[in-house]
Amino acid sequence: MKLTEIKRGKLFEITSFIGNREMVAKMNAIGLYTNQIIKLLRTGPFGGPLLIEETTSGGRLMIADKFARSVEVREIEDVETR
Amino acid sequence: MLKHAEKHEIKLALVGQPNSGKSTLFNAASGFRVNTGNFPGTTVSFAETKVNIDGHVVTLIDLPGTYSITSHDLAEKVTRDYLLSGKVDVLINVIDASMLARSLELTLQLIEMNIPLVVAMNMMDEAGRKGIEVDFDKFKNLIGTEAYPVNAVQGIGVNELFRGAISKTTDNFKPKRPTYDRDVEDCLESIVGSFSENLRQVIRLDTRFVAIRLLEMDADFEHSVSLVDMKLMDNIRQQRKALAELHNWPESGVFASHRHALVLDLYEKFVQHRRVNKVSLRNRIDAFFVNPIGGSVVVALSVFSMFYVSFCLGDIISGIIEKPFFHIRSWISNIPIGILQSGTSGLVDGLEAGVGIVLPYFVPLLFLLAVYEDSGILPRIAFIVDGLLHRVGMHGKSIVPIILGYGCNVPAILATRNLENERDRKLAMLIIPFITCSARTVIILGLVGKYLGALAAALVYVGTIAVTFTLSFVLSRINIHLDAGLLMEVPPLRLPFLRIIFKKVWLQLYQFLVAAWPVIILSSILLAIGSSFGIDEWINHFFSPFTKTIMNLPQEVGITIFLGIFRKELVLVMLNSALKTGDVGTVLSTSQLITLTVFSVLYIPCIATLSILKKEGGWRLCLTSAALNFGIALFFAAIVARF
Repeated sequence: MKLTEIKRGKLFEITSFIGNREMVAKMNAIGLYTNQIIKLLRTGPFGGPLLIEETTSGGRLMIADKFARSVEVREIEDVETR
Repeated sequence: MLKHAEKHEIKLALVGQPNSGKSTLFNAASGFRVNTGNFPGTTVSFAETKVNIDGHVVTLIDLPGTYSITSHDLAEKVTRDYLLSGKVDVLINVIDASMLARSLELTLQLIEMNIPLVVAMNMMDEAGRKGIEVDFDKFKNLIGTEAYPVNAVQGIGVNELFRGAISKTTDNFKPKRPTYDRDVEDCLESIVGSFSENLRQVIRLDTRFVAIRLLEMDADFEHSVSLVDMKLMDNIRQQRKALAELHNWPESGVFASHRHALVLDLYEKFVQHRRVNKVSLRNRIDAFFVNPIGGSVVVALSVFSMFYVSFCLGDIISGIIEKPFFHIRSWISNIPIGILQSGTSGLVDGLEAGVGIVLPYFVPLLFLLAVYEDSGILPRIAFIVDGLLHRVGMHGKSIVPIILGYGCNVPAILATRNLENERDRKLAMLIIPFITCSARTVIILGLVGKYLGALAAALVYVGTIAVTFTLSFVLSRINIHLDAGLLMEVPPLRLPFLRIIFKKVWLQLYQFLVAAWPVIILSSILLAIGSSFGIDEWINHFFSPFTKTIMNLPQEVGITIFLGIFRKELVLVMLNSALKTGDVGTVLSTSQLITLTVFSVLYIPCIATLSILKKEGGWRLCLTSAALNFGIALFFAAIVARF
């Protein structure tokens, strides 16, 4: 499923990126990569960006719809990571 | 070869990802004299200062924060070109130790450029809190360069860092370059091998670095190579494709994926993770921001408090500043020579305007803005308002220029440089002159507020906000090339350091003074001299089609409107003498009061703003802005006048 479809309270793994090269490079540069595990903290009001957290570094990002639509994820079991 | 002078001045550059504390490090090292500038022909800015370290005079440059330097946007490209120009002796890569894995991506890219480099490992305390422990010896062995632990905010480790960086200039130390997978290395070798002597002469850069750029499909480098040898470029493309197919990866991501894999591999080797208790006080506070209702409330409070505090403090400070100017004025009236008296009077007026009207409201706003920025509240505000701003066609990052605009439009325009997309930037620059800056607020309070009450003033205020949003909505439909939207890091909440806040405020204030003051003072002097020669009558007559006919205002108001172009608050300040009364409320009707107010707060940006608009956006934008403001102001004023 796409990153835009994820729900709170669950963990997701990024499986792939689709979309134009520049957008993907920007997402990579800010720390989103394939196999990265993330979770949704909340969605911004008035159709604003998503607030997600990468579980490994604990870093938080705002990611707008257009970017989020370019990210494919899958749900994973809540395993203890590190 | 270039000849270096005996006492060659050392140049150090700071490069790092946003929120790495790079600018804090710069501020910690710099004195109070900092030069900010733009890379020629761009809006990408950098800061420069001179520092004395162990007797060496060092020029320290703070380059823009970038996540990578693969030149996908202007800031990255400009930074990279600057680093490759050879003007920098040693590079200091500032890393947020708590975001080490991601930070290393940039580090490796910098190392690939083959220039002397050291690493400043910042925010070690933050890393400790996350349970991250770094083995510095292993780091040095694996990454190939020295890492110095620093705490930029407290100034710890900074001297050792700079000493270390300077020592690298003597031996021209270049970090060991990373080795990638066998097949990637083979591909690189083969590409380098196929470079002709001619190509090497034309592209006078390290060949391995160029090969890497070509593998990463860097358009600039592809273009350069094609110009020299089209066949070679085709050959390289084929090799690149083959490498991608071998690993079943998209062509554009081949090298980045390898670099990423290498980063993770190295990271595991010199970093240990301790188990940490995730529920800390900070996380619990942050939970408020994350909560749907709590977040919006907190943000609304933060924004409201910014305005409230700046107005309260502004009033107090402005009251204090008025007194000395009062005395100076009475002294001036004693100056014998007419033109000298008007000139000096004009000078004092200009000074008072700069110091007395704008600064009292502007400085507290800057202060709070810096606090919100350093504490991490600002990105959280951007998160909440982004959706709303998008509905009216603006980008979430516009929130900072918008907030600044309420203090003064000039720094707000300067702040639009943060907007990467040219269209977003142009839109923001056209919208900002509609934001009621301190001077305009003074007019609203002094005319409508004083004679018609607080509610009426509030309505006018809200009205301008409505006009701003509507205008943004309309303008954004004209050019629908929309940016992809916000993709921004939200740093952890931190307690800001006062010393750093003061420095930040000073730097911004300094920029504002340099940009606005000369214009304000010069125009004030000219005005004062001009009015002593009686140009008032002529100007009133010139504006009468607008004032009398369209807006139903007394013709005498023309001169105040003209003066308002130079300094907005003059519309209010000069009204008494223009209408020859001690109480404006007796001469103007309710309708006229509102009409004049509405017109004054919307029409043409002040001359300082206009000059900045021209500088930042060009003549066309500047004139469009003036026309837009004037037209809309006249339109609404005309409507109000008919009521």
